Amino acid sequence: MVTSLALCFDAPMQSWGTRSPGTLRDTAAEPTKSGVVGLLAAALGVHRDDHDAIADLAALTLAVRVDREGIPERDYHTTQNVPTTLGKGHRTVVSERYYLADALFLVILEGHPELLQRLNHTIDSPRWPVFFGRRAFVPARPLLTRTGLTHQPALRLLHTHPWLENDPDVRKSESAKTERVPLRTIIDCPATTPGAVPRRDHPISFTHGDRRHGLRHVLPATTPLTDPMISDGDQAPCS
Amino acid sequence: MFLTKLSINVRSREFRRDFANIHDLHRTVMSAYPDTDGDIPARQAHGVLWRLDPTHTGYTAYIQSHTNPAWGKLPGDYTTAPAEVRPLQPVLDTITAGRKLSFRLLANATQDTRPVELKGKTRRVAHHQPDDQIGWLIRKGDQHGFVIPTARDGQPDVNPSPVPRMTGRKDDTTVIVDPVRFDGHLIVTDHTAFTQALTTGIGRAKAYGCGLLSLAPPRNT
Repeated sequence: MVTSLALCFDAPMQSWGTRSPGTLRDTAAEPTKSGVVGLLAAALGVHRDDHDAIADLAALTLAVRVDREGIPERDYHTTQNVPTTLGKGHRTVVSERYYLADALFLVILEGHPELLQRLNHTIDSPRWPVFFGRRAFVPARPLLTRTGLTHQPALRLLHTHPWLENDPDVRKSESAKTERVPLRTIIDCPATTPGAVPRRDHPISFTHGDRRHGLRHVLPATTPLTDPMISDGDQAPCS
Repeated sequence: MFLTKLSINVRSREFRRDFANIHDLHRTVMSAYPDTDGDIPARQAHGVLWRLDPTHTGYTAYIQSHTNPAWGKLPGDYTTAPAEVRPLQPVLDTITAGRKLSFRLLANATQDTRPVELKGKTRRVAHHQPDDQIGWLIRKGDQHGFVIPTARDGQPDVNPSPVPRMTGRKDDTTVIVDPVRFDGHLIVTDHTAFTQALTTGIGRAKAYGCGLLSLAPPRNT
């Protein structure tokens, strides 16, 4: 029997870097696998160089539904006292740091039931702080959704999980519409699936100075935003 | 020539979809213009150029065209105010050679490279360094009848600022545009070439929000 864990990624700012070393720190339009695995590892208290535990987390199937598209923004960021390549003298480096403003994602993990159970217990009282791509970008509401741990497959949850949008104005205006913008979905898939897109964000090692990522394949698609998804929405107010 | 100002509602789901996919944004802009049956693409036939400008509260879209746009088809909550359309002829009338103007241009400043691995084929890459970007703009000025004056510090009087990468999907191909925004001053040298650049745009990726040259009186120094 499959087990899935549904999480809500909601924050004023999130950053999911894909080609990040250097002074250009970009962000993808949806959470990366390495970012999600890093967050889960922090919640469980898994060390950076615990490769086996990281591999177990990375083996989970990741499915993401974009419940609200974020707006990419640029951060003016300087780092002082960066040594020059010759090791003599120091300089100030200006880097381009991008983040997603106002994004909201439904993140579903499918796989090993015992691991998901542990995550279910610890994710909202994490061992170490959890954040969305950068230390300052903390969650705006609890990560666990009302659905939480279920026996449904991730693919089915993508199509049926209540819409996470909690802005009453947006909900109201959407329920009045007859033609709605569908929700974008991205799910892990085998490389042979037609339409599969490669992403180099499968974490292999988070060790300082030895970060490594492998290739994974995802299938981009959309799912309609239906009436039950809106009416059954996650309206629980933030405490 | 017409210029439209759209005050974007950033909470609109239709706008969020368009912002995440630059090709959808292109289609939303083009929905204001009738279809063409000729061989010339509709954007070119109507002379459509547009740009999204960030504001304190969200975005403003400026859209320029030969054809009078009809914004009735825009999704209901796409904007926070009705579309404002005005003729551009008064601006075109004031352009004379030797006139100094301040300008804003979002441009796809690129160059063709011939990497070894492509065996003679070219690959277009965006300029990321400010000096390269200014060099690109100065070359475009030679071509389009304007020069960039020198500021007090002896450098060209223009500021290039980085803009988030714009991505989209057209059919089954990925669209990636790395634009740069130029704000500065220019001096018109050739009336005909400059007017032509104003109406047809500068540089590449004109369907994706690049190439629209906006003018204003020069700033006091």
